[in-house]
Amino acid sequence: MARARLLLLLCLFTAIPFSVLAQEQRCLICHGKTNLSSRDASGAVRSLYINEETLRGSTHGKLSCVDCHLDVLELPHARKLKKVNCIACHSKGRTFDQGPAIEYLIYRDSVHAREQEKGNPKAPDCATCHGSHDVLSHADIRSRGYRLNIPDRMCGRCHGQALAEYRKSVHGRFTTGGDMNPPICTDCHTEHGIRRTVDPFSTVYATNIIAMCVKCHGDFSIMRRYGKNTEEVETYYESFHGVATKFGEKNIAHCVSCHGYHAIKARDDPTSSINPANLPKTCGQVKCHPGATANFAKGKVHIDPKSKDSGIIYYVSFGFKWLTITVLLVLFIHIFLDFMRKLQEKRRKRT
Amino acid sequence: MANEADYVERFTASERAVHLLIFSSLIILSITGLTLKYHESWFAQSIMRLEGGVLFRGKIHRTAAVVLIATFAYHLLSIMFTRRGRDFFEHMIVRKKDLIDGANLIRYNLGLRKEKPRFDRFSCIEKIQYWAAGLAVVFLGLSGFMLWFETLFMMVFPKWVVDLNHVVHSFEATVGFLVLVVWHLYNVHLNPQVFPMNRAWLTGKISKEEMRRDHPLEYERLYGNGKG
Repeated sequence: MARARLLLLLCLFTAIPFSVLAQEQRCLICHGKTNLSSRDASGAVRSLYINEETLRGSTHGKLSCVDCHLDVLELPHARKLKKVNCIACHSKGRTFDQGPAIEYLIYRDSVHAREQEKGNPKAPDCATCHGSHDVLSHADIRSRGYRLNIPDRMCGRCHGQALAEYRKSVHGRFTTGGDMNPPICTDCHTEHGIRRTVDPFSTVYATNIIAMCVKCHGDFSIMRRYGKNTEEVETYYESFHGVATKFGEKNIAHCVSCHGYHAIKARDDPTSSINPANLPKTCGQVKCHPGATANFAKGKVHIDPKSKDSGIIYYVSFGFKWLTITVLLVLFIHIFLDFMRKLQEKRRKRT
Repeated sequence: MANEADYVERFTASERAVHLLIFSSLIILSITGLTLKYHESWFAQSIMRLEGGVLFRGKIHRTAAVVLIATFAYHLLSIMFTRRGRDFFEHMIVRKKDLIDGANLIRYNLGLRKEKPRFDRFSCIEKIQYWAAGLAVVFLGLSGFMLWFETLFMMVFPKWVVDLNHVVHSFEATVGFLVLVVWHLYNVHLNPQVFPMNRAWLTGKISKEEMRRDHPLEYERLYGNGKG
């Protein structure tokens, strides 16, 4: 009896994988053909070929077709299938050993999701960025989500101009060369929760963008690798521009007002917005300092009065500091003596 | 003491109005200026909100500056065109006697000298404060206008001059503010002889007794040698 039960169990466990495989083979009877295609609503040809090897090599390689295409209940299936609902599994966790994934909840408030709700056909959903049958872990160098692939293979496919500007920027040049540190799209815009620039909750909103730049430019351990320091951040916070933005003014210069955003370039690049030759134009924007002359470029921009690099400004403020201290000290001594004397006078008068 | 005849007019109504306008605009200028300079401190954070943000704070600052400069101009005009104003100014001019008085006052306070220096209408301390305040208005006004019309000034001056001017404006103002708060408020409030307050800025009057004590030369000039 016991032996019969064991045999039954054995049969069952071996039969399940075989039946799954058999099922896949049935899908691939049609979808394994390279020329299988259909026309979508706009009339464009869409390939329906599935490369089995790619699918098996993806993170979802162990799943069967119907795990995602839940509405395939019989063959031949309906002409039009529903979109795959990634959330059905991923609301429970990114992988089976992790907690529930919140990426979808974040995505739901993003500009991409909102556009999709409005019915914009170009707005991306999960598969637009992550791919469908070829999803790989972001740690895999072949993955679209691999750090250095994100600009070209995710965002840049739609945001072509931003990508072109980014590639010419200091940040883009480093990442093109394989450096993992400089920012890519998602470092400033975030991944799933991308919002419009004018949205106050956006990480690139006027008063929030500074924090994005400061993440790296305020970190000396990162900056020193590129021969830079963090004084730009500190001096900005001390400047009038910095104080005004800190207290919530939106129409005051912050990092990108002068440096640009996707096309940030080094100062010595003649096409850079902060090249001394271009500074009058950059400072002289209509809402900033209209009528700015070449004098705007004569002098350091990020000045720290406490640093000797600031030249005369350092010496003058140093002098003033000691003048203030001396004046106060002398004044206090004088007042103390005067007070004691007057008190004495008053007492003498009374008695 | 209560007798009307015991009091002499020290400041006319117009002079008191000038004082009122100067100190109220200076208080506003100090508060709005210091909140920008010490923007990291907790009091600046809360005051900044009352001031309507950084940019509106600037508007308040400039309005108060215009009031101060207008008052200053009014004072200059009164010196130039009224008899009393000219008289006031003549007594304010720093003379050799003031240097000697200053040195003697220090010696007296240190107990190295028996008698107090004898002052005329304005003591050497009052003169220092008057001139310091006047020069501060001139210098801070000039550097303030330079900051106000920055772009205009930068048509002539390079950026570093404007930056230097910014630092100078802020430090000058701080020194001026501290001297004013510490010294002037001591002299007219905490000073044991007048505590809790010298009322001359409100009533414009000084008692003859006080005049004999603090401005003996003036007293003698007006009422003869100590007989009142």
